Amino acid sequence: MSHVDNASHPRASEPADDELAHDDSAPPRILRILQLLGIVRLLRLLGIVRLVRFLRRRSAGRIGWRTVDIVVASVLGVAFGLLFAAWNNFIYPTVSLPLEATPFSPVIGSIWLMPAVIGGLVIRKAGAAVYTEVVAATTSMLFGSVWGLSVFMSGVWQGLGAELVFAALAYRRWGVAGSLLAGAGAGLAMGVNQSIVSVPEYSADWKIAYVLAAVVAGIAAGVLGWLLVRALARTGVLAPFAAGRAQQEV
Amino acid sequence: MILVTGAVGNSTSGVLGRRNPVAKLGGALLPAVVLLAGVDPVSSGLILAAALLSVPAWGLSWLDVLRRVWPLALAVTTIAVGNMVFTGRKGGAVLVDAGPLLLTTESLAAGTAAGMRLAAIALPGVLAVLTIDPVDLADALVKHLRVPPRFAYGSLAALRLAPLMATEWETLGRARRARGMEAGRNPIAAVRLFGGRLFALLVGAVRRGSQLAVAMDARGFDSRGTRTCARESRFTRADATVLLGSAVLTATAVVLAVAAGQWNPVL
Repeated sequence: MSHVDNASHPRASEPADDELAHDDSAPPRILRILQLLGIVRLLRLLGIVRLVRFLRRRSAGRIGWRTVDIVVASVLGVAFGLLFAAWNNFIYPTVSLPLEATPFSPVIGSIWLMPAVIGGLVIRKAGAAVYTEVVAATTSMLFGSVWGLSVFMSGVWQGLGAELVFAALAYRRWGVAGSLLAGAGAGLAMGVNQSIVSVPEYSADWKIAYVLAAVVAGIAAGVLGWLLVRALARTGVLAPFAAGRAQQEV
Repeated sequence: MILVTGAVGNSTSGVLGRRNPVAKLGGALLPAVVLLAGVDPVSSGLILAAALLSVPAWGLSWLDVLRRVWPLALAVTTIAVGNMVFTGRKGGAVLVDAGPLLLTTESLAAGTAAGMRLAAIALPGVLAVLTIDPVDLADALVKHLRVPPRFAYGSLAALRLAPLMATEWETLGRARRARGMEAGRNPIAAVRLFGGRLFALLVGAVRRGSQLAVAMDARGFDSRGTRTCARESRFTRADATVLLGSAVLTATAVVLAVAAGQWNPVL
């Protein structure tokens, strides 16, 4: 077994979130340079250091990911990815096939959008929705989804749809309304993506019907996801997360 | 659900199967992304044919691939029919005219092109993924695409729980059956039961995930020290050639479609 030492080729792009995750230890490099230049004293006099520290602490909760955030988001994604794979390969070709030839096929697509909503609601960090959805899509891909990489691309778009809504709400609204909107965002992204990928030949009217059907599915996913996270919080398994600590708020 | 376990891809001995996961995925992603730009039978047909012909090079057997992708064939056919019916292009000779349902030669061609394009987008990725081992993928993503290692290996750790989760899904189903919770032919009861089963699965998964995170932290997963890699991932000249070949093939497909006057931008 050969050990490759990463120190021999320093990372060009040290992930920013890692820096923030370890807020308390070792001051960042830029601060050390400023200290040498005697600028820190000036900034401290102006109260700017305190402001920066305050802002960093405020944002660290929403940006830095702990291991438990990463692993639980991944586990949720994997669970849904398995469902996707089963759905894609067995349920989809049998149950939803007749519907698939109509513009209303996205209506039953709620399941695709759930990981984005649930990941966002449980982890409550920037990127949680898109990360969870991408893990779910990748898992279903690795477990032999017949859609190959197109399922990955869908995952990215759907996750971004929900993520943008959570971001627009400043990662502060985790109630049923925010969840519903995030689901709708994911649904809109799914509808637009699918109208390019799978139904490019539909006439404009039918494309609009198709996208609206996807948004309806997204709203359903938002509400279902919120109910599911609330139920999860009640079992106590979300204790390591803000979502589990503030039950009445969920 | 039990049918999906153990379906994770393995590296094969084929010329393409042996390549770096990043090269395989990149090579499969490139034509898929470019095909999104336009709908025509020429470019889609070329990519689809190339993907089908490349099956032995991935180290896969035709039978194996057929056994895997029949649901895709079925879904693609249905979606193609949908495109034929709901397209706005109704020129050419009328084939079927039954009230709101109108099928013409042009709508038939449009639907077929859409179906072929969908198959051409999906199939190369399916072949690539069938020959990718998730561990190799995580290594390659970290080394060559600079994906943050905590996320790459964190998700890999979670993926290792997948067989466990699939077993648990079966166990939950059997436990519920033993308690007389069966849907029979009632679809509404089936959905409700499915929801309950999914919830139980998620509770177990989150609990196990939290424990796993503690175990990983105890072994220094979150440490800021220099991270070393147990396995080596190499991106060789052959891997670069795969990417180049894919780019050439994709470019050829687009050029041929434009030359044939078939190129039809989607937007």
